[in-house]
Amino acid sequence: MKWKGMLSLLIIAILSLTGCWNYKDVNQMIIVSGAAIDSAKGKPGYHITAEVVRPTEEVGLKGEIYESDGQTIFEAIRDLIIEASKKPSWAHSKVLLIGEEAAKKGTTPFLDMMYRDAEVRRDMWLFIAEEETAGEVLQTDVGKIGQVRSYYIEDIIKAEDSVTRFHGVRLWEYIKYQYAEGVSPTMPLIRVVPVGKGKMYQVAGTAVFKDDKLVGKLNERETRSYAWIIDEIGGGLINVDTNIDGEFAEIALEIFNSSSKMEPFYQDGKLSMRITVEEIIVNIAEIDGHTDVIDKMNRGELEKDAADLVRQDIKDVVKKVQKEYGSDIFGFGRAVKRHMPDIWKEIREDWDKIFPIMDVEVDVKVKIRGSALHNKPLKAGGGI
Amino acid sequence: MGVGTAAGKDAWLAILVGILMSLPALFIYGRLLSLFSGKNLYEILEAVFGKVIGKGISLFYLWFAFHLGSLVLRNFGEFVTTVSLPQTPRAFPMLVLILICSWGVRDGIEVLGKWGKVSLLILLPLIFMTILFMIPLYEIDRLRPVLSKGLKPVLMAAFSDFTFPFAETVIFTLVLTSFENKKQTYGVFFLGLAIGGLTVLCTTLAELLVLGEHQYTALYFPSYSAVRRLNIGNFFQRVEIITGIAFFGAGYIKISMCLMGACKGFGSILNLEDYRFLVLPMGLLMLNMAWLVYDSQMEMFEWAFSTWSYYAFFFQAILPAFILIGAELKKRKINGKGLQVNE
Repeated sequence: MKWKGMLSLLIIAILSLTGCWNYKDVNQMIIVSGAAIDSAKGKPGYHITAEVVRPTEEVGLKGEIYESDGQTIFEAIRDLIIEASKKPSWAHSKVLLIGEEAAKKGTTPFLDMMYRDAEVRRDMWLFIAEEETAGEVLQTDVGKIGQVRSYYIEDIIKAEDSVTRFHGVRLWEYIKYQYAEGVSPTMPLIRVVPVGKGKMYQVAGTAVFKDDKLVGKLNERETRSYAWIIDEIGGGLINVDTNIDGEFAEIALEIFNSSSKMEPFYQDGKLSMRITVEEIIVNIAEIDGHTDVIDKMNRGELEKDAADLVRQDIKDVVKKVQKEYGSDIFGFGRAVKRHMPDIWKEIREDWDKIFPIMDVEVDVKVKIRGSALHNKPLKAGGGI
Repeated sequence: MGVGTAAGKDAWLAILVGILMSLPALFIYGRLLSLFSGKNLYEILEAVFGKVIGKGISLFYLWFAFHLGSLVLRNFGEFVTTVSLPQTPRAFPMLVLILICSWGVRDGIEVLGKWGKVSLLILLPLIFMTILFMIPLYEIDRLRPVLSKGLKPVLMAAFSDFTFPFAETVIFTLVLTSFENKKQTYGVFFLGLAIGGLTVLCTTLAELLVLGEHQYTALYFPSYSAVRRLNIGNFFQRVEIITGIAFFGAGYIKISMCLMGACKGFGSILNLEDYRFLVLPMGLLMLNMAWLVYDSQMEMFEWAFSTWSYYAFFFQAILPAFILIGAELKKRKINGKGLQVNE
């Protein structure tokens, strides 16, 4: 009987008295909400700017900024402790801003630690900062709404579907594209713009990488075409200038759905790519004029105009990327690999030379689904 | 959907004329059902024209019921995606509705009839209450001058009103069989016309009085936009969902009737004893048809207001008149021989 009593005592003790080895209460922690990485000024190594959230008894969180230098990223991160008094937890960091300077030298040296470390989450959003340094962006005072700026930036990126002026990229996606054959990664651009008296963030455009080095940028419109090619259009709008019977009108079409695919084919012995954007389904959202584009005949005209516009945009962005950057961000190589594996084996070594001179054929179809509540344009000047 | 938009601000007049125009058609339907009591139109067709021709004509009505059901279903889908859920694929609200309809039709005409009674008690007060609440927004000048464009557009619109919605009641000849007496066959149609006509007339008048001519004809769903303007003391406002409820409740009955008509037709052509096992497949076919039938919202309205009238007139007036003549002749022949069919 005695050992039974001892055993139950032991079990009770084990269940009630033990805890986690490294247990920390939330009020003993500080949490990194986002960070910016730059090349250190005038010396080798990196400069890290981290926004840190300190749990307090007050209502609402407030970000604090800490900075440190280091030969390696890891050193810089560890040195943050000296300033911030506690060891920051990286498990809840949402965004990572990268300075252009550092990105041009290559992202591998500093993204390796981020990707390798157990604490950092791989679904962090990546950005290229279009300012002098990335730290500057994170330190910008954006007023009350941006109490924790990183979370604010994350909210912007989550609204991607209704704007399509940027294409959000997570850390794991970036690394995946870096690994993948026949496709290059991109990141969205972030900059600070003046709004009224204050300043505000603006996420728009795309940074083009080749291997792991920043080589160029696409503007907002080119970004939309890029999203079309890689089939990442979730919404947004197309502005079309129409000219029907000599009357000009600007029409805004709201995109509801679209899907695209690419297929390589041989034309006159030359490897070419066919991009098909199948049925962009849109609603007429705004008619800036009095032309009745909803009329049956004019609707067809409008559909054609919109399709031409999108096709030209896509052709332009492909040409620009081919000629200026030579980086296959569209994944043409990957398409060749999937559709023509035998040919890919022969050309994969020379892909960098083949990609810039590839011919591209674009097919776009636009279908107008509705015109919201009205079936006529607004009228000015009475009539009837 | 606005009715009689071709007449502009005289749409309400067009509805009155349309109601008058539909009286003879409804008389034909009632007469047909009372001549052969206990039989629906499919069975009457076979009794009058024999197996082969009768079944041939039955095919027309099977198609009409099926097509009309799909159109209404699509209309419902458009309503939901246009006014409230633009990101939702149109198929989902339609799928939900057709599943409920199939359920109702499987349970039979009694259940649908009872539901019709109940829903009428809910919907009619709701609709008329809304119309009354909108009185402060009315401006009688919006109707003036009456007949400004002459009589012709009014007659054209009246014709359109005849085919949509009044004479669509031809569907009832396909499903209604059990009447208490012969007079009731007329009563069903004329009482229905009275209630339905009054409702359509009142809502159209209210919409015109609130929105005015241009808005009434330019909006896809004028009732929705009219009710949107309703605001009594900042308290009774944002009640446009009422039009949604009315749309759903009434559309449910309409689609169910069409579905039942189509199923009964199929059953009668193939000499099946029970139509019930056909309901779900037929309903899902209707869903497909509704998905395919129009390319866009604009096409739906163009078709509904330009083509539908001429297309439907064949099923609603020409064919029934022809059948009635055949039925009368057949009946005389039988009576002349001193034989009585049914009774």
